[in-house]
Parts: sequence; structure tokens; C-alpha cells
Amino acid sequence: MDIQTILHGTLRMATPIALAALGGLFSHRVGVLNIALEGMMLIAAFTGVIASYLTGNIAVAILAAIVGTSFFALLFCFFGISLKGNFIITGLAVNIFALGLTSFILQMAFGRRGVFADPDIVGLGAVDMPWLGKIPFVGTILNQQTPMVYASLVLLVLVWLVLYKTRFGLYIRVIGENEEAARAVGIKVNAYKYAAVFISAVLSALAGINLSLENLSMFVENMTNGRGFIALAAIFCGKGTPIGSYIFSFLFGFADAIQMRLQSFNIPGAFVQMIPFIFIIVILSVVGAVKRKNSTSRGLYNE
Amino acid sequence: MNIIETKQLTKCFGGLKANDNIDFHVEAGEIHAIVGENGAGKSTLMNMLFGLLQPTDGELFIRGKRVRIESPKTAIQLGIGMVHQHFKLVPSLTVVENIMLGCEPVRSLFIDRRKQLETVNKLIKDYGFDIDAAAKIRDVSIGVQQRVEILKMLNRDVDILILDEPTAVLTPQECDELMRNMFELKKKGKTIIIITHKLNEVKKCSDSVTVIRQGKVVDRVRTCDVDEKELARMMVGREVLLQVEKGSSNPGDMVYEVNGLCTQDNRGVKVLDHVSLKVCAGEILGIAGVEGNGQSELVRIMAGMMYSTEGKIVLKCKDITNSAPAGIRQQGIGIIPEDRYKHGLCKNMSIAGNIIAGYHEREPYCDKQFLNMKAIKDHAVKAIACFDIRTDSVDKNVGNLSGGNAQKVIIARELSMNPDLLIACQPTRGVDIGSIEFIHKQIIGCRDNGKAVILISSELSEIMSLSDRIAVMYRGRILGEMPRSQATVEKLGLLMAGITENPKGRCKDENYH
Amino acid sequence: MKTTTRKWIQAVISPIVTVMLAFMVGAVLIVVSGKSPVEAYGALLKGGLAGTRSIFNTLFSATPIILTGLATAISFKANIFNMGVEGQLYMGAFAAAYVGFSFEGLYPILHVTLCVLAAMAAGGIYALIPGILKGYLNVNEMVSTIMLNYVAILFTTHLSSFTFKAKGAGFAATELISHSAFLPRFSKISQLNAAFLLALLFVVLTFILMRRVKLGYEIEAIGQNLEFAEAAGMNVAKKTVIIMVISGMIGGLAGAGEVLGVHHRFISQFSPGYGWDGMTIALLGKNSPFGVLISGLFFGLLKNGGSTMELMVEVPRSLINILQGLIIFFLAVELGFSRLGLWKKIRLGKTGKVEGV
Repeated sequence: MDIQTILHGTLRMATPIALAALGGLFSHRVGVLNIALEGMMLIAAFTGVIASYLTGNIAVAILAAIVGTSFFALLFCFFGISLKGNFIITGLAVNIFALGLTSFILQMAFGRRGVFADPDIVGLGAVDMPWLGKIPFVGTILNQQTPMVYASLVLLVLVWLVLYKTRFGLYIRVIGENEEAARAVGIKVNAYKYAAVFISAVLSALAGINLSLENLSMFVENMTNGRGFIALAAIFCGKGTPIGSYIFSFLFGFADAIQMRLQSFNIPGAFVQMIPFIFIIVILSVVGAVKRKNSTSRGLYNE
Repeated sequence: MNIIETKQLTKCFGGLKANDNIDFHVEAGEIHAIVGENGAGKSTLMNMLFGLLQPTDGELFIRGKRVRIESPKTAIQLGIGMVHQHFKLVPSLTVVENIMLGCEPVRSLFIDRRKQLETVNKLIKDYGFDIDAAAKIRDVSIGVQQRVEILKMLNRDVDILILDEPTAVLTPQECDELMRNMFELKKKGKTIIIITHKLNEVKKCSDSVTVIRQGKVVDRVRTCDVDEKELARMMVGREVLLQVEKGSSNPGDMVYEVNGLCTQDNRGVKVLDHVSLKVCAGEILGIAGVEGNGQSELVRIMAGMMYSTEGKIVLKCKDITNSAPAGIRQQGIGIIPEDRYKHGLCKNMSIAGNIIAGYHEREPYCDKQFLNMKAIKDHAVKAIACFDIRTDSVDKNVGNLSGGNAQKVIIARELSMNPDLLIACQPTRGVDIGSIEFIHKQIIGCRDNGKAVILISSELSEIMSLSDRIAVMYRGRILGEMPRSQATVEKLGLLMAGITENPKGRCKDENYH
Repeated sequence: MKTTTRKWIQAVISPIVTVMLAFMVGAVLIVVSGKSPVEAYGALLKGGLAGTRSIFNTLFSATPIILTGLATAISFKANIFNMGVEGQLYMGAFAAAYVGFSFEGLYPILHVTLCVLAAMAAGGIYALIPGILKGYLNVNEMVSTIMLNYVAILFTTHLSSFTFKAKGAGFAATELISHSAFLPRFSKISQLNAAFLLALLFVVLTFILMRRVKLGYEIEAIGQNLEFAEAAGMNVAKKTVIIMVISGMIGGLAGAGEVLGVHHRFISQFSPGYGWDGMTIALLGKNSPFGVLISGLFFGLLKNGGSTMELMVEVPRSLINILQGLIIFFLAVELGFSRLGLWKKIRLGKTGKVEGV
């Protein structure tokens, strides 16, 4: 296995995390802690599969996934922003709710438990663009990826532009840094918070589709398996910047991708699978240590 | 013509009437002051004018027309702008971005940076302010930040400018600069409303004054018709002792010494530069200076909340440099912190819980990990009685007490532990006059009992009325020190602005805007 | 109305209102799936309360989550968001199993005690890592504990699938623990065992901790105002570690209860999410020990009744998860109630906060 194959796998595995992170960072920058990324991805994966099964149409599936996550985003926003509830509680609620609802519907409506696989489910396959493949080195990495992978790269640029070059992005950053200042000039803070959460909902939907309809063509209970939280960690590590969050998503994808390779070295699968999780903790510790070194304050608070 | 007029304007928060049937007016083109004690209702009234609060009852007229101001946006459309006491600026953005926040010019989806800069530079020139448009807010001085706030409003074509406690963070010289700016604006036809509790400023700059007490208007007078004493009486409702009575000090041995203390903030910027001072038993050392010149950091180091990078602190011949807060209390230092709700109290805890904070490991309150609830309650009851804390129960949450009473809880806590050194930082900020008198008496009492006191305050009058010796801090240094007998407002003011007397004449600090 | 009476009413009525709202929404879902909510909820209640066996089973279902609830509540009260109770539970469970099957012929009380201690030690040590990271490096404990959950599950799955796999077992589990390590059952009709008593004991211990022990005071201070706590001389970093360790220890104990009292071996991935349940009931019980107890019993009722409901009325057990999610959502509303001053409208007269006067 050469480096290009590994990087190809990295890009593939990083995509759902990157998508969720790119969307989630809006929420992070606006000051809404969105731990519901995990739940939203799961709902999107589920809704996408169901919609694909029922209609055989990918576009409809994607749309359905977006509608599904948006509904939960709305709940999250309503309880968290308008009613000023605690975001951690509401985020947790979305995650638990998502698990329960997907299971419930799966059983009640389709009579299955645990897995939903069916020949009628239409998925998205890898795209072959020979002209892309001809580019030296990166060509083989970029070619033969599924649509969402390309979408994630495009979105990286889009998100960067929106965040740093438009009024919308500016206001998002301002609200996160000093909400009072935003209010004082008449910026409708709540509206922007809602918008930010919706953006993360839409991108989480794409991430969910990638999980259930691109790499596989089925829904497995709890198939997100922590990726939403890893996306959150990527946002933290990348300090909420598009490039930073993408880089960390990429790094975690790398850890995921070399799993196969390491397993051939007789390292037990479990330990290899642990790598991404431990990696995050190590990164956060290093970031924390660096901050601590420069700090003259005693204690945990930020002054 | 009355540019602003309110009729029976009322604002209730639950059962509390913050503004009670206020009839208030401002004439076009005048500088009008609103005075009152902390908690009188001044800010509430202005927040209603600026759309941050909605009146519960009553009417509001702008230029003779009845209006409803639903949000700051509406207020600005009506030509009303407000500069708050706590600036609403975004530190990581530049002056330009802050001034244009909310009304950025846009060119094909993206912000037009060039046009922004043009607009702001023109504005700066028109009004003659001295600001670097490209600087980031976190890098400029407070005086400049205030000017940015003012420009923010002027950019939106306001005719009425409300300034909320504008001089709280300025040196006497910067205050003069501000007043010059205000007169300039008045000449350009603007109307200015200034909220303040500093009566000397009212006399200096306003044309007329409205006095508010306990949510009601006491009177509206022309500034030339009253003096400060009269205004104080109207504010409080009785004769006010503007100077506290105090005997002379009898200093004993040196109790506490700080030597060459340096420290930096989290970004590596030096905020304390070789600070040295000493205080003896039985004396009050007052540290004057405008907020933001290192006093907060100095107190935090003395309280053990921040580390120093260089220097020593010695208490009674013992080196206590960089001790933890627990150790500092053990050594006999009591601290009244600058921000009582942040560092001094826990709002959601009872008075009893707060009164042992910091001392909760000592007997009799704690015995082998278990708390002695009765001892704690007894202590709290005693404290309430001795320190005039107005409350009906020991179990009441401290968050429900008024500012003055909350402060008294802290003072009760620290003084009842009989510290050798008391460090009091902004002890009467946001406190009603009655409590101020009480707190000042307590501090003097502490000194008369042979304890050492370090008083840090940005209220020059407080420093001058309580201190036996005065030091001035500027940009993290002690710029000068003198006995009270030699101190005058002018001398201290110059030092507070960084201007030290020099045989060759004045040397102005280069960084001073 | 006196403040204390009003506080009491608020504390009791709001959770009840919350739960009722959730049940109403759940009823809608049941109707949509073509079943009768009355039948469904009826089966739920019957399964949970009708008869000694049902009650025993309810208490049995409540046991692990009361413990995880306590573990979570202690840390949440200090504003430390230990989301890793699930992982601490697994580590504790495995430790208990290991000590359980590694020794034979010991006095039962001694053996059980050793297992419990091992479990608490394992859970505590596992919580030490995120505790130190938060206390000294300010690493966000939510992220670190969630990550460690996955690590713990992977680790214990590996151990029970390979290293310590029971010979001849068809699934991933360790061998049975010695009989001397078994936690006795109350009766043959239910799996309810002495772990329930341990849960009750720790409810009381937690109460004492919060009200009468210095650390309890410090937990409250740290939870309410971190800077105040630091300024008051509490070594917040050290306390953070201690609080996390205590939380982890109780989480480990929950795992031990399952191993010693129920399965009598360590089964890979045996927990259906007890850690997350613990979080729900800690929130519902407002981080107070007795609140956790009552909420835990209630959820035990739901879980136990849930299986009956599924059997008899064919409404899936996952409805319980849905109800859980809804309850948490409405918990946020309950917070919203006080902010929107809805209590005023119920004429209980609340003095408002004065802003910017």
C-alpha cells in the first residue's frame, strides 16, 4: 500500500467529519455549542436511506436528509435559543432522541432492527474523472471519490469566503466574540444563531448521506459512532477556522485510514480503532499545555 | 423646543419600579446631565430611550412626535445614539470595522473594504478626532476606544448623543479632552445627555440637570442655579458628608512590602513594570490611577490569582511571593476584590455560605472535613448585626441583596477574621451613598486598630479622603508617591496621565493619545 | 408565599409537568403508529408496578442508572461535564470481573468487597486522566470523556474477545466469576440484587457529601462561580481531579453492580447506555441525590415497563429513548419557564432582576 492509496482513503474517511465540522464551526463561532452534530448526522443517514428506499432517487434522499436534520435543528434552536435553555442539555436531547426515533421508526414502519439493507436502496458511487486522474500525485488521491468528497472541498472554499468576506460571516464572528456589541448596533442576534445552526444541519445532512449512501448503501444503528463528536473536537482543535477544522478532520481521517494497514502488522484491531480518539485527546492536551505556558493567571478561567 | 420629552414614563421589573412616572425633557442643542446614586434608575431611563428596554407605561416624544423605540436600530433611525459605560466594541476587529459594524458597504456579496476605510477616515477628519483607523481595538487605549464608540454613533447621523458614565475610565486630562469634544459637538448642533454621578463634572459641562432618586425625578434645574452640595442633597434626600471624618494616622512597623514586581498578560504584554511599595501598620496607602493601568493585575497578584514574573512580596519579614490564595489568607491578609460578583461572592449561595468563603477550612466552621452548620450560622448572624447588612435572613441568596449590602458581606467576612493587612480594591463602586459612608468608616476603623490598609480606587475623591499616603499608577508603574498632605488633584492628575515633572520641563508620554 | 415553599413546589412540579408533556408527545407517536396510547401506557405501568415481581424488576432496572446518575450529578454540580461515566462503568465492570474470576474460595463478603474496591479504583483511575487534563491543562472534559468512552469500550471488548475470553464461549465474554463474588439476589422471581442496596447507600453518602462535607460546599462554589472558588482559596485544579475521580469511582461501582449481581461475568458491550441514562436522570433530578433517586426509580419503571409494553402491545422499546429525549427537551423549557416569567402568570409572584439600573 503506497502513500497515495493511504491518502485516498484518508480523504474518503475524513469527508463526513470535515463536512460536519465545516457546518458546525458556524455554530461554534456564533457561540452555540452544538453537540448535536452526532444526532443530526445519524438522522440524516437514516432519512437518506429511507427516502432512497422509497423513491429510488438520490436527489430526493439528500433533500429528505436536509429536511430531517433541519427539523431537529429547529427543535434545538427553539429550546436552546428562543427559550434560552442550556445547549448541552438540548444537544444531548437531540442525540438521544435521534437514536430512539431512528430505532422506533425502523421497527414500527419497516419491521427491522439494527440494520436496514435492501437492494432497493440507491446509493452514490465513486466518480471517475480521467482528466483529474492525470494530475501528478494528487490525481490518484482526488480521483475516484464520491460526490460528497468533492462537495467537502468546494465547501471548504465557500465556507472560508462566507466567514471572512461577507457581512453574514462577519456578524457571526462578532456575535461569538461580543454579543453585546452586535446587539447594540441592531444586529438580530437570534436570527444569526438560528442560521448558524441550520448551516450545521445542512452540512451534517451531507455528512450523514456520505456515511449511509456513499460508502455503503444501508443504515446501521448508531453508524455515526462518535464522528459527530470527533467533528466537534476538530472544530475545537482548529479554533473554529475553516482551514484548521478541515486539517484536523483530515488528520483524523488519516488515523482512520491507516487502521487497515496497521492491522496487517498484527496490532489488534481494537487498539488501532482507538487511535483517532486518543489522538484528539493528545492534541487537545498539547494545545492546552501551550496555552498554560503563556498564562500568568492561576486557575482554569480565561483571564 | 424639547427634542426629547417623556410623560409619566414607567418601567417595572417584576415588583420593582425602576422608573416611576418620570417626566423628563431635554432641549435641543443643550448638554443635559442626569444625576443620581447607583441604582437610582438613570441607566434604565436611558436604556429605554435607546430601545434596549421597553417602558411598562408612559409616553415618549422625540421632536414632538410620540414614538415607540423598539430596538437600538429604531433609536438610531430617530437620531439617538448611545455610548455605554462598558464599551460594546469587538476587540479583534479594527477601528474601521467597529465603526462600520452593522452598516458595512457591500460590493457583489462581499464587504467593500476600501470604501469602508474611506468613509471612516473622512469621519475622523470631520470631527477632528485623533485615531488610527487601522488599529485593532484591543491594542488602543480606553480613551481612544471611547472616541471610537462616539464615532460609531456619529457615523449613523445621530443628533442626540447619550453618554453613560463616560469619565469613569478617563484621567482628569482625558476628561478635559472629552469635554472639549462635547462642546465641539454642541457647536455642530448636537444634543448631548450625560449620565454621571460625578457632581463636579456636572458643574463643569452641563447646561441643565435632572436629579433622579429611587426611580423618581426629584427636580430639573439649570446648572448655574445649583452647587454640588445642593445636588448631593437632592440625590440622597438628606445632608451628605462629602468628606469623611478622620483622625491622623499613627504608623507603626512596616507590615507589607512589594519589591520590583513585574508581570505580563496572557499575550505576553508587560502589564506591571517593577512595582514597589510598602505599607506600615496603622496607615492607609492609597493607590490612585485610571482603571486599566495595572491596578487590577497588581491586586490579583497580591490576592494570589495571578503570577508575577519578577519581584518579591514580603509580609512581616516572610517571603510570600506567588503564594496561592489560601496561603495569603492564612498569613493574615484580607481582600476586598474589584469585582465583587466575580471574585468576591457566589450569587446563588446564601449569606451564610458566602461569609465563610475562603475561611471555610478553619475551625470552628470545619472539623475534619465536616462542616459545622451551627457555627457558620452563628457567625453569619453576628456579621449581619455588626456590619449593618440589610436582610431578613441568613439564608437569603447574596444575589438578592443590593450592591451595597453585598459589598458589606465581603467586608464583614474579611474584617471579622482580623487581618493584619486589608487590601481594598474599588470598595465603593456601585454602592449607595449610605453604604459608602459605612464602608469608609470601616476602613478607617481598621487603620485605627493598628492594621495596614492598601486602598486602590479610580475615584480620586475617595483616595484623597481616606489615604495617609498616596501612590499613583500609570501603565504598570508607580509613577509617584507622596504623603496626603502634599497631594492635590492637579498633581495627582498629572501623574495619572503619565506626566512626570522634569527639571527640563514637562515630558509627555509618547503613547498618550 | 414563603421562598422555601415556592422553591419546593418549583422543584417538584416542574419535573412532573415535564414528564407529562413528554408522555403526551409520545402518545401522539403511538397513535401515528397505529396503536393505542392508553393500552401502551397501561402496559408500561402494569409492567413496572403491578405485582411484587414487577416492582422488583423496576428496582432492578433502576439500580445501575441511579449509580451512574449519582456519578454524573456530583460532577455536573461542579459544572464539570463528565460525559464519560459510560467508559468508567466499563472499566469498573471489567476490574470487578477480573477480581471475580481470578480468585476462588475466599469469604464472600471479602471477595465482593475486593471486587467492588477494584471496580471503584478502576473507574476512579480512568476518570483521573480527563480530570488532570481539565484541571491542569484546561482540556474540555466533554470532548475528552466522550473520546475515552469509545476507548474504554474498545479496550474492554478486546479484552473480553481475546485475552480473557471464556473458553468455549460463543460470544465475547469472560469466564464466570467465582460464586464467592456473587452479589446475592433478593428472590428467585427477579434479578434484583444487593447492588440496589449499594445504590441506596451511595444516595445517602452523596447527600451527606453535598450538605455536610467541606468538599460538597466546594463543589457548589466551583459549580456556581469558578473564579470565586479560586479566589476563596480552593485549589480548583486539585478539586477538579478529586471530583472527577469520585465521579469515576461511582461509575465503576455501577459497572461492578452489573457484573457481580446480574451477568456474573463481563460481557462485551453489555451496557445499553447506562451512562447516558445517568446523565438524563441527573439533569431531571437537578443534580441532587434524592432527585436522582426518584428520577432513577422513575426511569427504572419506564425501562421495565418498556419491555412489557413491547411484548404486549408491540410498541418498540425505543419509545423509551424518545420519551427520554423529550423529557430532556422539556427540561430546557422548564428553565425557559422561569426566564419567561411564566411563574408570574401562575401568580406566584417572583421578584425580577433589576437590569442596568
